[in-house]
Amino acid sequence: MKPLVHTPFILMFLFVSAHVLAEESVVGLTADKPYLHVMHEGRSVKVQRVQDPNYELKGYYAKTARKCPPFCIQPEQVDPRVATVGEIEVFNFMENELRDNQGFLIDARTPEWFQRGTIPGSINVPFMQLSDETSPEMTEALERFGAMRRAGVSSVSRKLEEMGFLDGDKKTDHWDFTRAKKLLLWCNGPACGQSPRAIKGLLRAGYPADKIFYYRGGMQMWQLWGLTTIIPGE
Amino acid sequence: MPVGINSPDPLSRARMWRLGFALALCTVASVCTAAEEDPYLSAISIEAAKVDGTAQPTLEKNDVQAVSPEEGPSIEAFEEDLKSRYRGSYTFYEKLPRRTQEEVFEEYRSGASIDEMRKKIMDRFLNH
Repeated sequence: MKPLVHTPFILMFLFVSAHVLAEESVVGLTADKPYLHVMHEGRSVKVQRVQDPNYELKGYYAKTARKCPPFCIQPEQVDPRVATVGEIEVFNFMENELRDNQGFLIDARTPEWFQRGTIPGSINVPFMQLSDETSPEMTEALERFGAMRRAGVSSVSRKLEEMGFLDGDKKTDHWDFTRAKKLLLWCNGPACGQSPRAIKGLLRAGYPADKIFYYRGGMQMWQLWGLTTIIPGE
Repeated sequence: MPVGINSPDPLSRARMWRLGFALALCTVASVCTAAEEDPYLSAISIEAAKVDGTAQPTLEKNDVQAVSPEEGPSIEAFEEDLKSRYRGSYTFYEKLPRRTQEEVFEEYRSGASIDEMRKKIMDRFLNH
């Protein structure tokens, strides 16, 4: 009779153990976030980490050396005014700014890189388009980001704005960035100069530095963490 | 016959076409040459060719979780997010009939922003 009495307890123990093991096997994004969803090309994409504990990064992004120059290690900061961010901030950006249509996650690499895989939720704005503040491509990009062109601003008004008598905090002679969206730019990783070039171009155009973020880890760190990537158009 | 702006003589029109064509050719040629001559762009292009999409284990292991909207975030996750970030909106959302809550969620899942959803919640709350 005794074994029968213990049977329910044994079964319960096995059930709880299995449940705990199942819980432990999840490799989450953070301690309290197993995964997240982000919109990409009109579809909801699940962003998570590879669940295989024996997973090892292989392929191009596992390489530690590339010819330098031009693929040299980049400084932590592109500009002292621009915040450098890590993966957690990218997750938060996806869940807040992207979801609320208040920001853009920008893959600043050339299209041939973008086509080979990108971070979900990213749009491709190659750094060349953001390098020259006077180019039509830059104008088009700034308008897309929510900046508004200013015309007929008198020198007196501009002077008053610069002196702080008029609201000119996020305005230049040619652009009003008051309603411009936040931009989080990234490229291939710590040895990639594409997004730093784009950020410098944006700053030259007058884009407010507090609306620009630099994800230095880029695709290399994204892949090192085994995070979801996506091939555009697939 | 007077020669005006709207009726240039055929000779000058031909000259203008030739000039325009030459200018366009020069522009295209200079852009192409600039791209070809920029060593950084060339190096990037050469490097990109080394990336083999199929050699990215992330793509295989994660199976690129592209899902259709109906498989997107759950209503529970949406409610949890609303509760933690916008307590006020969540209070009104709670008071809505279940069917209206589902309607709000469906719109959110199809890509609408949380700000739009908060407005919708208020609208539905005031008008239900």
